[in-house]
Amino acid sequence: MYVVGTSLIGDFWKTHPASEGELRALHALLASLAAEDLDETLKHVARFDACGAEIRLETVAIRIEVNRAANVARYAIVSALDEETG
Amino acid sequence: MKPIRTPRDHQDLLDEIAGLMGAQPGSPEADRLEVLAVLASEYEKRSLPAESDPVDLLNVVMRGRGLSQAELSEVLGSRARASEILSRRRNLSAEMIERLSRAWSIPRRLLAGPFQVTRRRIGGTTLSILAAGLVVVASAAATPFLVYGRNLPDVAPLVQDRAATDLTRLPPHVVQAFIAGEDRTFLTHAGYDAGAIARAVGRNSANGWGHPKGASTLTQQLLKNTLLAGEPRSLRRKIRELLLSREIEDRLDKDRILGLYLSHVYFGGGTYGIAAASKRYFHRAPAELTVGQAAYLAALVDAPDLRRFDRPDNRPRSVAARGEVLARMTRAGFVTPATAEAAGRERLW
Repeated sequence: MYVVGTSLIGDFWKTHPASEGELRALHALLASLAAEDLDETLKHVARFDACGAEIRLETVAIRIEVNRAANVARYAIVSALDEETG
Repeated sequence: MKPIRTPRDHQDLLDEIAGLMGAQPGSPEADRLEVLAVLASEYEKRSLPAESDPVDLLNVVMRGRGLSQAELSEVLGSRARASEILSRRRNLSAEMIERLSRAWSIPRRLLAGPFQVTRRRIGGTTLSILAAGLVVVASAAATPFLVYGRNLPDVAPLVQDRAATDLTRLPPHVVQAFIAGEDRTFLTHAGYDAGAIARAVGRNSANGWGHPKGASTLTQQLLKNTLLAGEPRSLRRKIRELLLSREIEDRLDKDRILGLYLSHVYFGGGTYGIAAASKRYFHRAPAELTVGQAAYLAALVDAPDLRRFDRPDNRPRSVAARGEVLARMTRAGFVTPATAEAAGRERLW
């Protein structure tokens, strides 16, 4: 996929260094996937909806928007899991 | 549409992409989204390449697919290996990368990156031998050992070197010839061979320390041919080889170290690397080398100018040195005595 908005995750791990490894790994994985492989690859950590997916890793939750027709993913929101409320 | 030249241009592009993410398939908006995404992702690759630590990647893939360590063990063929990989006590070998890539559809390049391996524990006996050797070395030179550790070259150029020979394209006897001939404990040592160092310390103590010889592992030889190229043979270089070899072994797996060694080692006559040497001496690719030819090339690296068979005076030494490597391959169980004997009868020139 074409993955855009990487400055969002890069800025995030500057303030949350513990998340850098898994965010880099997720980014490398997404960039190597075709959009149709996304669901199968992340089925145990992602909640999919019409616009994309909410992915919960070990230290962070990340919202990506996906347009499958254009094979594009965009990082929309990243948050630390220990800072999440609700 | 315009090129991205500034962060402002990039942000404008991202804003437009955000507005197009809901574009319907086949629509002009979807086409525009795809084109803009290509531009933005190319620009962003420069600041954040899609690369990852292989262990972090494995963890994300396993978590994402709900896979357990038991399933990793199944792919790697061993529970111990799976545990060592996940706890960073072992690097992924070429074979493991191949298995994981096939089983879980992970691109090989994502698994092939270097990662930091937890330093191996050194056994008490090994440590004693090594310490004894180093004390003798340091006192013989009347120089504090740690002085040599200053200003060590950066290992990054070697870690990132793309020129490594692909071992999967070589017949096993080629790899085995170099291991048997040059470094029989290569697959198990941590960059140096403490027993060989102890033996070399004894020899060099008796002969004086002007030009210390022996005990170099393939890892140390790789360093001598690359990061330390041009440094004269000396006690200083030996110790620097030792210090750097530990770092290289921590950052690269054995397949890659050997692959780099085979690409950089000198075979005489201005020939570097096994591909060039195979062509020069046998007019063929490394994948086509016979056992006898592989053993000869492994023997050649130790003293290229004395063993090159293209110098007729060297020929008795060429054959004798090949015979010694074949004998070592036999003792290591890499070839049968009959195979070694047949290989020893192969014509070299």
